[in-house]
Amino acid sequence: MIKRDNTLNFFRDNILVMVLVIIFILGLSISRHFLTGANISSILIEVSVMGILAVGETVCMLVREIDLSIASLMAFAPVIAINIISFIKSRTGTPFIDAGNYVNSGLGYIVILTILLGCIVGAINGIIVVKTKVPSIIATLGMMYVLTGFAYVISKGTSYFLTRVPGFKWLGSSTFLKIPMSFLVYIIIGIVALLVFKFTKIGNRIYATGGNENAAIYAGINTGNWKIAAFIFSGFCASVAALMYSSRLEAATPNQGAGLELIAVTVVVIGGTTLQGGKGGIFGTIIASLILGIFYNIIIAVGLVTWYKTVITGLLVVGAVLIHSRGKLTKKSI
Amino acid sequence: MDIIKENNKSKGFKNLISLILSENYFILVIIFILTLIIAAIFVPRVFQVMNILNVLRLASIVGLVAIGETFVILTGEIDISVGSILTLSLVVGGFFLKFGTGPAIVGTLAAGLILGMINGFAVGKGKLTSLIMTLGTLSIYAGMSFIISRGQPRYLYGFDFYLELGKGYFLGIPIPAAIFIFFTIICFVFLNLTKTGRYFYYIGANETAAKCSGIRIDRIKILAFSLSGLFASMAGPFIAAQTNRIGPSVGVGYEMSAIAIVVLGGTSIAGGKGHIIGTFVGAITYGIFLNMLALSGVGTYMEALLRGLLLIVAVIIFQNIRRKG
Repeated sequence: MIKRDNTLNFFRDNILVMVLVIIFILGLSISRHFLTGANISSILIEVSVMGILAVGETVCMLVREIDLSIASLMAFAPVIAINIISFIKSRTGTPFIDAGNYVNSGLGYIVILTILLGCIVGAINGIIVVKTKVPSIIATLGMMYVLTGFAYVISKGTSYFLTRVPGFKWLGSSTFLKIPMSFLVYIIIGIVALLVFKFTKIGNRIYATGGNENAAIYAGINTGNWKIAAFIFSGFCASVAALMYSSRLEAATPNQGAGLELIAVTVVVIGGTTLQGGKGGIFGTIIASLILGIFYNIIIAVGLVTWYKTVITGLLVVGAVLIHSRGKLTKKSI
Repeated sequence: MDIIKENNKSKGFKNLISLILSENYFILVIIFILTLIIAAIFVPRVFQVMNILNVLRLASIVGLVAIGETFVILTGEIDISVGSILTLSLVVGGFFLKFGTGPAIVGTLAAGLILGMINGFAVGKGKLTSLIMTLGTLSIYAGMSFIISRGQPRYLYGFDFYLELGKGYFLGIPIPAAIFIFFTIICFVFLNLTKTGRYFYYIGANETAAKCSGIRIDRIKILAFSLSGLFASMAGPFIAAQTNRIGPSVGVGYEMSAIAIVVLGGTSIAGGKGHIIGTFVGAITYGIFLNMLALSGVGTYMEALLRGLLLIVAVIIFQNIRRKG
């Protein structure tokens, strides 16, 4: 443990929370509509999709790997799930997809198969990376093309409309105590992952795998399996994000989520997990997703076009990685 | 390294085979020949002269970006901002168009060099992780090119010399291809026959050892990223000349293609191993592969799928044969 005996260290350790508070106050002072219920819930909905992707990505980056296939998995999983169910049901004679690509039933099957497919793709990524020693950035980059291509080939580029599936819009459109359901699901998954990392052996092993892989192997940790587990978790999170997104749109399109992998990595980096291995954590990611969500909202409220959004996102990444790596250097020297 | 090779040579045929397999170079040639054979069987139209010249033209443009990327990957880093550098430098160069074609191209190249150097300073001097740093600059440069061009394309009507870059020929081969071949030779000589060139390999193979033997790692990394930016910006004018305009999103996706080509060319993503010639053959293979898919009519969706599969399979083969060799 590092001794936190001076105020500077306190500030450095809690910089994310302070940035969140500052940016919240900034939002309050800039727009009088900032604190209205509609605005807050739109922020929370945007946060929940990118946040849950980022939680999965965090675990991957903690073991010093990176998963670029999550965004394409968001399109792949629901589209393929619907097609598999449609194929099986067409064998038994009951139509599953009505004219005009309307899916008419099968909520449970879609949810279960989507999550299953997410985990399977994650496992394939993990196995390729661990067993064949392919660097994860290349393996998941290739997987990104493969998944996007698959989703397009199977769906022939068309969307599947889920408006006729009873109960499908629960996750994306309903609220609990005025909080969007998708945000609640995100926070629950995030907190469960956080607690598991803090209080069980799993957390230690993940951090050890990322921190010093050789040392972890000598300590008897099967680092390969933990890496595969990290990829599976990342795939799981991506499929939950896919369900949130599809549920909000009430449709599954083969290009949904495109580009979100970079946003997810951005959130993770701002949260303090910077691919230097074994450093960072899920708490930082959750705070960072809120920061970025509020930030995007402010940019729109101020009236800046999306071009500025891209530039400022990039500046945030560079700034965050500068601050976090500086923190690391000073801690080492102490 | 030379001693090991000589030892292997002296031990006869069996070791020769393992030596051949251990050199990514030869696997690449096999992949290249396989691509040609598949093309010859299924899509013989690929081999029409006009088509080959077109493939060469397109492959050379991506290939130039890939040459720059090779330098960075050889030092064990990665640069995913090349696509955005291409766009931003092109847009910046577009502001010099009123002075003529020459200043515009010089401006483009200078902008590319500076943008690459910024990455290099952050990675070399600031010790930032290159993947994260260039992810940041990927966004920054892409956004900047939209902001300074206000999202408007700039048309090139009347700039005949500029347009000639896209459609012209030099000694019977397309101009981009001529430049690509020229720089492949220059970079091959630089990497293999000069001291600075060998430093790229040493740093990629073992950074600590390179540091201990007195190599200025920060300088070489800055050089690598600067070259990456320079070559990325070099590809820009050709794309602009072909589409007759300087648009603010021309370079989107080029980083992925460039990395795919470098990996296909047998350069180890961990650094320290690889050839410029590999990148050259990789670019041509990639070009023929994409052209074959386009001509065979499988559609863009299938093309993306197969492109991803090619990347994964190629890397798995490279990684595993090298380990055994």
